[in-house]
Amino acid sequence: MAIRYLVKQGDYLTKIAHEHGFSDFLTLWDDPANAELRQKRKSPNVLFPGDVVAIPDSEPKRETGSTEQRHRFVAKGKPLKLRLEVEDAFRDPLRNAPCELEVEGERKDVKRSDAQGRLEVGIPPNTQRGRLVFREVDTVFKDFVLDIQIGSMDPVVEIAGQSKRLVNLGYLKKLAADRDDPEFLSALQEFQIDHDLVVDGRCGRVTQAQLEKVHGS
Amino acid sequence: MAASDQGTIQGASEGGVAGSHPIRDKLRMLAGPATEQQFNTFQSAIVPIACFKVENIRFDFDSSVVLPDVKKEMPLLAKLIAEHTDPKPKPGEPPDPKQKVPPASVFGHADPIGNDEYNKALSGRRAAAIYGMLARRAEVWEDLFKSSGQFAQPAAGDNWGTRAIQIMLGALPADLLAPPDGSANDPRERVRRFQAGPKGQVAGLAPDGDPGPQTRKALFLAYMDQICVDAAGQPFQLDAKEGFLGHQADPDGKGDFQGCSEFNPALLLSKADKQKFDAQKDKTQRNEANEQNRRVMVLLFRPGAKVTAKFWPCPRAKEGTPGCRKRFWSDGEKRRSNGESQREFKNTNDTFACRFYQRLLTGSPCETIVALVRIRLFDRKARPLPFAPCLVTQQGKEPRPDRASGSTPNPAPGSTPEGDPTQDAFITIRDLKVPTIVNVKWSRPAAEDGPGSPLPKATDPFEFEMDVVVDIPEADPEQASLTRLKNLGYVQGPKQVDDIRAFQRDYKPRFADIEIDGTLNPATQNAIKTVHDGCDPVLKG
Repeated sequence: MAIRYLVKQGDYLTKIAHEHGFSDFLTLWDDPANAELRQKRKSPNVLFPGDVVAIPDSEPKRETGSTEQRHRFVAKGKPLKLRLEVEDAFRDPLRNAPCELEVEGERKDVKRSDAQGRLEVGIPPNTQRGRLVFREVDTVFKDFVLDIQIGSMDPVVEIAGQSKRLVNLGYLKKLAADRDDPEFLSALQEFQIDHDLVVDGRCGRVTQAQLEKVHGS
Repeated sequence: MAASDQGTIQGASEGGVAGSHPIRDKLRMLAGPATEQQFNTFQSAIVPIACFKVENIRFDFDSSVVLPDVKKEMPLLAKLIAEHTDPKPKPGEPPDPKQKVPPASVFGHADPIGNDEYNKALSGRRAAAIYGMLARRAEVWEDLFKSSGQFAQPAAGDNWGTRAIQIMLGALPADLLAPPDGSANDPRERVRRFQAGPKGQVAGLAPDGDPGPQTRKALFLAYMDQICVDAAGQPFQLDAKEGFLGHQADPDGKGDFQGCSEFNPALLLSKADKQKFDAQKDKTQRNEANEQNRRVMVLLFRPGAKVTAKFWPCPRAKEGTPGCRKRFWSDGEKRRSNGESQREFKNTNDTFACRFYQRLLTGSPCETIVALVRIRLFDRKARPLPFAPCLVTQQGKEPRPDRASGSTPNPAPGSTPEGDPTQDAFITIRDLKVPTIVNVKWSRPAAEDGPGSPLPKATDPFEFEMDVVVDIPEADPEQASLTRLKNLGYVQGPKQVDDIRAFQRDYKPRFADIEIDGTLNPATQNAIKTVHDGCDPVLKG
C-alpha cells in the first residue's frame, strides 16, 4: 500500500527516498502517483512544506532468474551534491579562496573555491547541516562562519523561496512573512534594479526566472 | 523594533554623533542539494557596521568650509575606526602591516528649504570637503576653493575665498606661524607668517602674503592636521585607497563620497509648522529646525568590503542627481514631503526618498534628531537682552560661552533693521536628549555688542544666573506651573503664594480673568504657560 508523505521544512526528495528505503529518488519522482507533484515542483530537491509525496510500496525488485544464480544489484541513484558559489561583492566571485567545509560534522576534502568561486562536494542523502569558513582571504568573508542549512531552499514560485534567494544574495536580512513586508519589497526592488528588470516590487514570472538564474537554482 | 535591530550611540557632542550599527545575524546560507546542475549563490551584503555624523554647525554658514570646532567630534571617528580595525590596534604599538581598516563612504545631505540647485551642489561639496580632509587630499579642497567642478559641482554661492583662508589661519597654533612683524591687522600678514613658518618653509613658500595655490595646498594640509585629530590630539587620516569603499578606483570618487541633495531628510516638519515658520520674517526658527537635515554622514563598512564603481548606485558628487531617481521608492516624493504631523526617520522610517540610502541607514543610531532647546534671556525688568554674553552649563558638560541672538542693532539711516526683534535674545542648546536643567549665567550686553562680538570667557563675572528647568514636569500641572514661574524669575518670595501673587499682579492687565489671590487657579496656570512658552513677558516699570 502506498503511503502519502507530508513534506516538512528541510525535506528534499533524495532524503525522503532514503528515509523510506529507496536508493534512487527517481523511483518516487517518476511514479505516476506523483505526476501532480512533478507538475507543481520542477526540482525534486526543492520541495515545499505541505507538499505531498506518494511513496510506493518498497517491494524488492523482481527479476526473473534462476534462484540458483546470484544477481548483484547495485544501489542506483544520482549522487547528491552540495554546490555553492560565493560572491564577495556584486558579481564578483570569491575565486581560488582557501576554505574549510564540513558537512554534518565531517570535514570535506575540498580545499578551495574554484576559478568561478564555486565549491562542489558529494553529500549523503539525508544531510541537513554544513559549515563553511574562508580563512586566509582578503575579504569580508575572512574567518566568517557560514552556517549552511541543506534542504532548506524552497521553490521560487513561493514567497518563501523568493525570500530565501534574496537572503542568500544579500538583499534581505530576515525571511519575510508576506509580499507586503516593506523589507521584502525593498529587497526585491533592489534586486530588480540591479538586474535591469522593471522595478515593480512584484515577483512575477520574469523576476522569478531572473532570481533562479542569478541564484543558480 | 527588536532591541537587536537598533544600533547604539558610542559618543556624541554638539556637532556630531558616532555609533555602531546592529550586529548582523550570523551568516546563514539556505541551500538546496543538487543532483543536476543547480547552484546556490551566496553574496555578501553591503552593510554598514558603524556611522559618524557631522552636523551643519561644523560648516561655515551655507558653505562647504569646514570649521575648526569639528576637532571636537573627530576623535569619535578615530575611535570608531580603531574599534573596527582588524586586528584591533594596540595602543603604544606600531600598526600591524596586515591590518584592515573599515572602509568609509561619505554622504552629504541638504535641507529641503531654499534654492534647489544650490542645495544639491552644497550636499556634494560638503561630502567632498569631509572626504578631502579624511584622505588628506588637498586637491579636493583646491577644487572646492576654485569651484572648478572636478570633484564636486561648482556653486557660485559657496565662495571659499579670503574668509576660508582666514578661518584656517586663525586655527593654526602659534608654533606654525613665524613671529609677527607689526602689521597685525593686515590679513596678508597672517598668510606671510604661515609662509615663513615651519610648514611653509618645508613647502618652499615665498613669504609674500599672497595665498596662491602652493600656499593654499600647504595651508589646507596644515589645517586638516589641526582639526582631524584623535582623542590624544594627534592628526589621523584614512588611506585614500584602503580607507574608502570605492578604493579610489574611480578618479572622481564614485563609492568614496557623494551628495544626496535634499532627497533624504532626517526630519520633516508638519505642514502647519512649515507654514508658520515660512511666514516669520526671521527665518531663525525655520533654519534651526531644518538644519538637522544638513548633515554629512560617514558610514564605515566591514574591513575587506569593496564595491566596484560600475555597480555602485550613487552618482558622483560632481554629477548632480538625475541618477539618484532610479533608486527612489515609487512613493519617494511623498516620503520626503511635509505631511500632517512632524516625522523623523528614526521613528517612522519613511522620510527618505532613496531606497538604497534607506537600506544602509535602517537601524543606524546616527540618524537621530538632536533636541533643540531655546531659552530667552531678560533683565530684571523683563527686557529681552539681544547679544547678551552668557555661559551655558549642562550637567556633565563643560561650560560653554555663548551670545544671545539679536537683530541688527544700529541700522544705517534709512535702512530697516535686519532680523525680527521677537526673535532677539535667544540661546539655543543642542543635545541628543532634552536636558533636564541648564545653568545659564548672563549679563546685559554692552552698547557696542552686536553680531560677531567675541564670546565671553568662562571666568568672566556675570550679572545673572539661573538654573533653567527645561524638562517641565507636565504630568503634574501644579508642579509644571511652579516650575515655569521659577523660570520666569518669580522666586523673590518669601513664600510661594507671594510669587504667585506677584505674577498675577504683573499679568492681570494682559489676562483679565486672573484673580489676584495667590492660588494657581486655572486662569493663572494658563497665563503662566502662555507667557513662559511664548517667551513674551510683560515689561515691568
